[in-house]
Amino acid sequence: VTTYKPSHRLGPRPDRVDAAGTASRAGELIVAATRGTTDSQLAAEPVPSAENKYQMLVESLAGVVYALDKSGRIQYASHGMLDILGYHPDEAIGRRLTEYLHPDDVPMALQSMQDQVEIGKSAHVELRALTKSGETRWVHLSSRLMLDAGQGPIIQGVLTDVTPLRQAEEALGASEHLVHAVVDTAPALIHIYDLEEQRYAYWNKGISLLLGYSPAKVKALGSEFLVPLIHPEDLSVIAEHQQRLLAASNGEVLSVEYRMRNVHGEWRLLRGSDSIFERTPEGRPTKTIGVAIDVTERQRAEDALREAAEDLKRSNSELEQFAYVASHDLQEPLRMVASYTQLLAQRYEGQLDDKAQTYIHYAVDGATRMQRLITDLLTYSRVTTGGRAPKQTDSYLVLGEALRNLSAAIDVSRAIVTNGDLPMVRADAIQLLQVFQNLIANAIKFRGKDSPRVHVSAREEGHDWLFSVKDNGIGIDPQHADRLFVIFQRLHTREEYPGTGVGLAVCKRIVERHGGRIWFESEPGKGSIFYFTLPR
Amino acid sequence: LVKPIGILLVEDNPGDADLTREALVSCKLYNLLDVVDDGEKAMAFLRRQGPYSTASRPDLILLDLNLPRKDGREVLAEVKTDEDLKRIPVVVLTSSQAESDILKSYNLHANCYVTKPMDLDQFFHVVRSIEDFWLSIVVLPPPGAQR
Repeated sequence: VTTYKPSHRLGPRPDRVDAAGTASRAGELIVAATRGTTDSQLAAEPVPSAENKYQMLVESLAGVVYALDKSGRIQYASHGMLDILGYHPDEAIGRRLTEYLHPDDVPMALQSMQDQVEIGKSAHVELRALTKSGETRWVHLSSRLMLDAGQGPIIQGVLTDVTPLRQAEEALGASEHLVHAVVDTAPALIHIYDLEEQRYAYWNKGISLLLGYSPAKVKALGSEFLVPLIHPEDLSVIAEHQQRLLAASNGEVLSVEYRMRNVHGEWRLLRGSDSIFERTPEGRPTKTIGVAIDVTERQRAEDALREAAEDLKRSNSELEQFAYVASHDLQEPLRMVASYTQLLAQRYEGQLDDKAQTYIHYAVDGATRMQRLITDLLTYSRVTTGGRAPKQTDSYLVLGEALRNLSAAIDVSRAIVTNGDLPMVRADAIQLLQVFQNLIANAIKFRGKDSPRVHVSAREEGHDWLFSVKDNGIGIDPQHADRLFVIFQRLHTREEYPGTGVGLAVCKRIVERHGGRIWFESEPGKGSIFYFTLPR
Repeated sequence: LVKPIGILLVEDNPGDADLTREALVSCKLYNLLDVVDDGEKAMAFLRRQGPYSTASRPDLILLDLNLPRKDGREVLAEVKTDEDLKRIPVVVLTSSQAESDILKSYNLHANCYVTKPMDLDQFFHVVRSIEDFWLSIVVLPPPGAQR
């Protein structure tokens, strides 16, 4: 028994601490029982006599020193009984020790006692005791058989509380279990490489999960097993990576990608993340740890995506080429037809009869219309290829610009265009301008008997802005709803209403490019309302 | 005697060349129109090389963009980086409405870009306007001036 000056405490600060230790068979310290005493307590207590000294020591132990008779009844229990189990030693005298144990552990305790009595060996058991308040405590019983001449065999022992130790062990076991479970369930190849012995010191089941090698096959490959599986072209990458790794600081993770052959002979692309696992006290790395995952599928997906992007780029540039041909090469021959028929008409005026003039008119008109069709088709195709990225745009200002562009048509038709509050939206301003312009131009073009009135407004609807362009025109028969937004579809003859049938198709394409929808409501003879949405 | 105004038309389409000629014939200015049908000939003309050794320096160049052998963009780039030729006004006169052509032409320092109209009368009007603007309204540097 050693007396220490206390260094830390749980209760009131004692001036003196008595400690006693008991060792397990393996020689490790199982418990250290301590008891603190304040000087005032010491002063209050009488100076112990020599005979009482052992008694005091026993009483001051944090464990319970006990003696049992051969039937297992408690003959003596030290004061620790109150501290550990909550029973006063006086309550316990005459009762069986087993009464204080967890029922499941009683057979083990009985067996141990029986062994002691019959074989005479000392016993160390760890089992659960129940406190007076019903709590379970893990206790260590360390006892041996004593032969007392007067009373026959008795068992003397020390019961110590090992609950905290048990809990720590359990926690450690649980976290170890967790680590094992994680390491062996992870779809990753986890390995520890011993730099000094130049071999793999550890690998998890990832080698079979990822690459399909059975434990037997792994064994057959030897301690260098990972190396022969690496793609020869990637060995230099690995070597370079390992050089960098040796210079890595603690906690630094270095990545590397390399190919490994799986059990079917296919190359899998692995992405490894490695760091230093262990060092000598001088700081020289001795072991590295690596976690490699299979990124073959990701790589394939990336490759496919890149190819698709390239295809798209190619097809876009082909489309651009087409657009250029349409804007230039197709124009020139058309202009020749139109210009020279007109020149013909001018130079031979008086020599041509009315019929010839009509033919010339048809030729010029056809060429002019063809040109319109080409430019409109070009406009339509450019909605997606020529559009700019949407950005914050004041739709009110855009409407103003559309009206300026339409001023001639508005003046001629005496149209009145009004508007409600118009919001800021995320849009390609030029394209929004096209939408407003086309819808308002249509409202004016397809006017009724009265002078056209057009009202443009917007309101919030869910996650969108809902725009509407309302007119008092001739309206649209709802049965044509499907055809209305299709390119080159017209509901009227050119003589009634000129046009190529592209305007609404362009509107639809623009609105859809912005993530919105376009539709209309109409009552023939009374007017139409065109709606379109733009995300807020 | 008034020195005629020299115009070089670089145009591979004979139809268009004739139309331009028609437009200029009835023009108020006394002009001399030379026509070449590809970019190489245009550069040879301007540098008085080969068959063009006696060619006179034009006062205005009307340049189509899509030409065989050396196209209009190359001609434009060469003219506008040539110390001797860069002061000659170049009017790009083309069928192309492509935004990229318009941008490229101005980036190469074209003096202006004109799209040929479909309608004959408008075409005549445009050609005459070009001539009128560049040869009687604007003031150009004197012919022999250096730098």
